Amino acid sequence: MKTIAAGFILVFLFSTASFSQSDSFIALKEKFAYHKDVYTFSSSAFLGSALFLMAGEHEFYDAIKNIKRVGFVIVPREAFKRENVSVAGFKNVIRQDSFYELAHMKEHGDLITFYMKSTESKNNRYMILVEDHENVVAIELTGYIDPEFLLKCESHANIEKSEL
Amino acid sequence: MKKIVVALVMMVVINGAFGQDAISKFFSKYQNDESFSQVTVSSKMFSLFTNMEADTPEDKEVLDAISKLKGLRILAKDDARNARDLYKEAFTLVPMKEYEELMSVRDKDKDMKFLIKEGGGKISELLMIMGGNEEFMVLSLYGEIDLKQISRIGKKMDVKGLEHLDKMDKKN
Repeated sequence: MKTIAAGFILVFLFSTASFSQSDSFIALKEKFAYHKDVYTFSSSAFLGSALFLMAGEHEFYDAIKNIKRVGFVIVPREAFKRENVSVAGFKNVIRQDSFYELAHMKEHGDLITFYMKSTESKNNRYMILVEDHENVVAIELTGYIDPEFLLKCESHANIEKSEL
Repeated sequence: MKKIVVALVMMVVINGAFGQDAISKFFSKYQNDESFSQVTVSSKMFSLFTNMEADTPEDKEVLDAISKLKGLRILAKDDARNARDLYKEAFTLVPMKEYEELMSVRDKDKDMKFLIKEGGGKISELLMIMGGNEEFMVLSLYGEIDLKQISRIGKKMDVKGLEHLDKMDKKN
């Protein structure tokens, strides 16, 4: 009985995770679904926030405790070439999906772009696009992140090293 | 008549091309140099603070000040042996006529200059240029800037360096 219940919960969690994803995220997943070395994952954010809490990262925990869902997809750049599509094209898809850019940062050739699609009910969607030399990673979060924490993350990325 | 219109259009285009802010010139020059780090924060990010609830009146003032910002751009280089040269170069690229020096800080490790651009009685840009022994940074914060709140905004964003402006406020 326990196994059936656990199985039911898992199926429920994963199916609701896929339902709660944005059109652009689903488009990316589906476009590269059958390519080699493409990894996708989505689940409830409970585990992630619990890990931060257990690790004593209270600032992180407080900032992301209202995140409900997390999903990511890792696509090798090679797959973009094979499909004859570009990352810039995917960024257009993101914009057409009503995401707007909050910030972007470039470090050691890697580009990270933060997008957000807001709702009135604090059930926002956040998309983080990481472009490195080999892969493109899209991370989608559903829920609410404290803007103060978000701003700190975005502006702190390289200033931390400067230690003025 | 057509020639005049074409000339006017050309002037607008040329002015647009050359009228870019100081940090844009750096971005253009070093955007493909992987040893530099770049951060760009859009006005959308700052607009998220518009309707946030504040615990204290002081916090409310800071949130209001943040919501009036339009953008933040940073160009930085760590482990830069040529940091001092970059610092000097920055001043050759910044149109100094458009800026007024607000404060400079010098110690054994680094030099820092804070410049402001004013228009219509309001500060529209704060530029911080820092050159150390091995590090270089240009920071441009633009929008409607309240200098009284800027050090507190710096704390909120964890932007080290802006706390120096707090000292200036206390001196006044």
